[in-house]
Amino acid sequence: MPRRTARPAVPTTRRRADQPALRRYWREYLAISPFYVLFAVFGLFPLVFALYLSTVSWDGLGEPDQVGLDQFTRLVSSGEFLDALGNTVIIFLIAQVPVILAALGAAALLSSPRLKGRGIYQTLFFLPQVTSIVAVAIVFQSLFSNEFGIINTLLEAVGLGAVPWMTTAWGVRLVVALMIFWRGFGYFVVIFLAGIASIPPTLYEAARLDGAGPWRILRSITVPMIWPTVLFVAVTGTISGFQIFTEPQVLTNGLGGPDGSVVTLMFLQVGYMGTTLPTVAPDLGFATTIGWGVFVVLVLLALFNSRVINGRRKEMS
Amino acid sequence: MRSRRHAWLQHAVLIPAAALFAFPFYWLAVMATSRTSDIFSSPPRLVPGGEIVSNIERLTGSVDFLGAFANSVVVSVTATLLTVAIAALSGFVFAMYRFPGRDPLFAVLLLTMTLPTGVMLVPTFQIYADLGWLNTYLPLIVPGAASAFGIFWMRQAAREAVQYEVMEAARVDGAGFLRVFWHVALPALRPAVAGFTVFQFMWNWNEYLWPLLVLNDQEKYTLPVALQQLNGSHGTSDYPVVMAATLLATIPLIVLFLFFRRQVMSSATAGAVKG
Repeated sequence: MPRRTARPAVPTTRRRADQPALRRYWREYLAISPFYVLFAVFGLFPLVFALYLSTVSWDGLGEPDQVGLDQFTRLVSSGEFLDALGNTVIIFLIAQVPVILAALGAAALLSSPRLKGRGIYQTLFFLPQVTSIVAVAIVFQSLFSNEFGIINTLLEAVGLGAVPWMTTAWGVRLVVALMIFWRGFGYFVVIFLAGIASIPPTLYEAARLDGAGPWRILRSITVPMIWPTVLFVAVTGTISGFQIFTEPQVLTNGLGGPDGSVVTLMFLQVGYMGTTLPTVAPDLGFATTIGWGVFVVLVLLALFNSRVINGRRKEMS
Repeated sequence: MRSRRHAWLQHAVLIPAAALFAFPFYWLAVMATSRTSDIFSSPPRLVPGGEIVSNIERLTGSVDFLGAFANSVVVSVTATLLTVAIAALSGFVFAMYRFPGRDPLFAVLLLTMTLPTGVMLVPTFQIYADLGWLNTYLPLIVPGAASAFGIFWMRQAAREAVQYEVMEAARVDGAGFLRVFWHVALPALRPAVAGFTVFQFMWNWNEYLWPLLVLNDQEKYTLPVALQQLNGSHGTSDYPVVMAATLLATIPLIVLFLFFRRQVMSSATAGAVKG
């Protein structure tokens, strides 16, 4: 990023130097204030409010009951949270991880200098990203419908037999994973392509002259050179992957699939808010506590990520 | 010779992949233009039919789809304009002005992007309830009006595109703070603003979780919530109607995206590569 720090800031003509900063720079502060005001009200305040809410049991209608730390005990001892964590991790591993790796490979393929039709491929891969997850879920629901879905029809036609996608735990998880893959792929491809475009082509020419194959080039040049991009994708991909909600919720019509196999952490949290998941009784206190559970999981993941990053950086230097 | 074979191999991988990616769209079009009996027939019909008009007629006859469409337009346009305006002004000020506390304030803004906000659903919901905002569009417009990502992106763009000398010239001509923003900064920021606008519009158009949580009245539903409800009520009885609705909800964004392809894809990479 080219920094132009040498450029002088706009001089403060017509502003007297002896005025207090707030009066001298009120225009600047006013112009940037919306973010801080809104963040205080809808970002920081809820965080504090959440501390209180996690100490009550409340169906949202009557008076909240003070229960102390019971909700946290319930969080770690009830199987629900751990099951939801497990579902989230499974979906993350079979969806988010493959999609990032596949996108990296596709971007490497798409970035070869003489490839024709790159723009068309890029657009086609990106198109699912602009469609609403609800629409995607509805289409996938019908593609993978047990009885009349086109996928099962095709499988039967080639003699493989129908798969009970929507009525088995792993079937639904796989469909959710395919949705995430299909919708996210193009986004990651575009990001990786932009990273690869900034690599000097001479590096590739030199490697090719030295007889390096595609795999070697990907491992020794592309990935190290776009490492900041890889990190960005890994971090944001983890944060969004662990907050997956809409895909499983719409795909299973709000029910969570057989045995609740796609009830993710966010799905469980929203379930306890009383809007979906008929199997749970609304409890806003417990929903908040699940929110804290997600928060802790994400912080742990961030710490883990930064450890991996530092280790990798040492290894490369 | 070798490189030509290589290119052929690349297309041999990419063409089937692209076809697989296009297939769900194709199938959506097939089902939205079919009769219910076509969908449940064996073998199924694999090409689009001619029933789209009657499917849309049944759709608008049974639910207020046009109302939901209009709601989505109103909410998305308002929310997007507000977010883009605030991001452009704040980003411009962060990039081009110097004032005490600027850098720490910007660092705080960047830091908030890493905060997992989706986990504080209940307290945020309660705040909306206490403000009397439930069943209104305010929760979908106000809290997101100042986007950290947007401000970051506009600041990057302003650093590259806005010229200090032009600002100074405008100032000498007597232009005030807002006038400099309007006449100097905004024209220079146009490509970035266009990209961010489309990106933000898509995001608002597809937003599902909060509309689901805060909107109770059916006549207030935005498209994603209306679609989900329609799928729940008609999904088993009248599939083509659900598919026609899904198709209609999807087309505007696809058209918008195809028009602004370049800007959208460069917006998508703004945080990843330059950050």
